[in-house]
Amino acid sequence: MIDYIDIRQLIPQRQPIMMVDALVEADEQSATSRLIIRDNNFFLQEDGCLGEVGLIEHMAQTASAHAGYMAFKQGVQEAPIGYIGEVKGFCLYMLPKKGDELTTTVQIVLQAGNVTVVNAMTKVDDSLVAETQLKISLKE
Amino acid sequence: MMLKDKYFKVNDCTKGEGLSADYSISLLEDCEVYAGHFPGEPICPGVCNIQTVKECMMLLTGEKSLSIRKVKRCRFKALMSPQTVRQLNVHIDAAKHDDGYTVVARIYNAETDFMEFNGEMSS
Repeated sequence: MIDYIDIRQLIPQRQPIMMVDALVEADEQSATSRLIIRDNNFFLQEDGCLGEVGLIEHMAQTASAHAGYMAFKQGVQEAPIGYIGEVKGFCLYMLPKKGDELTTTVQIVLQAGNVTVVNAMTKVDDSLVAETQLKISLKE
Repeated sequence: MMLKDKYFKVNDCTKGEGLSADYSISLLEDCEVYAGHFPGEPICPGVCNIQTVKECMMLLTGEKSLSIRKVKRCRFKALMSPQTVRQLNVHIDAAKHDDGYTVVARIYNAETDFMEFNGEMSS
C-alpha cells in the first residue's frame, strides 16, 4: 500500500471522465488502481455494463496515474498529460457491470523518452475482465 | 447509443460492397466529455473514437448491441480537437463470420489520418 494521495494530483482528467478512484500500490515498474463503476459513469451502457472503451480508458488512466505518482515523488505538482498512442492485443473476457469494483495492474514493458509501453490487466474480484498492451505518450 | 448525437453526429453514409461504408460525421464541440478531457484544453479522447467506430458498425449491420472482443491493433496517429477538426470520415471494412465481425476501420479527413483500427466485434 502507498500513502493515500488525492487522485486529482496524479491524473489530469476531470469529471465526467475520471476513470480511476485511487492508486493503491506503486513501485518503479508497476502500479495498481481501483475504480467502482457508479451509475453516472460516462461509459456506462444502456444494459448496465461498462462499455469496453471505458475499460481501455480506465487502464490508460492507471498508467497515467502511475506516471503522475512517479512525478509527484520527484516533487512535480501538476499531473502530466498523456495520450494513448496505440492499443494492441486487447482481449475482453467479461463486461463488468454497475457496482463492480475494478482492480487494474499496469506493468511497464518499455520506456523511451516520453513514450511508455505498458501491459495492463483488469480484474473484478478474482475474475479476469480484460487485458491489453498500451502505448502512452506524455505531453512534453 | 452511447456517443451518437452527443459526441458525434452522422451527416451522410456511402455504402460500398459487402459490409463496407464511409460515414461522414461531425464532432459535437459542446459534448460534456471536454469538461474533463482536458479542462481548458479540449482533446478528443482516443477511446471515444474507438466507440465511434463501434457505433458506425452498429448502424451498418443493424445490430442493437456489439461488443469489442479483441483489438488486434489500434493506432492513434494524430491528436484531434473539436475546435480545429469538425468534419471527419469513418471508413469501415467488415467481414461477418460465425463468431461475429472482423472490423478494419480508419478515421480521417482530407488532411490527416487520425486513427486505424483492426479488431473483432460480436453481438
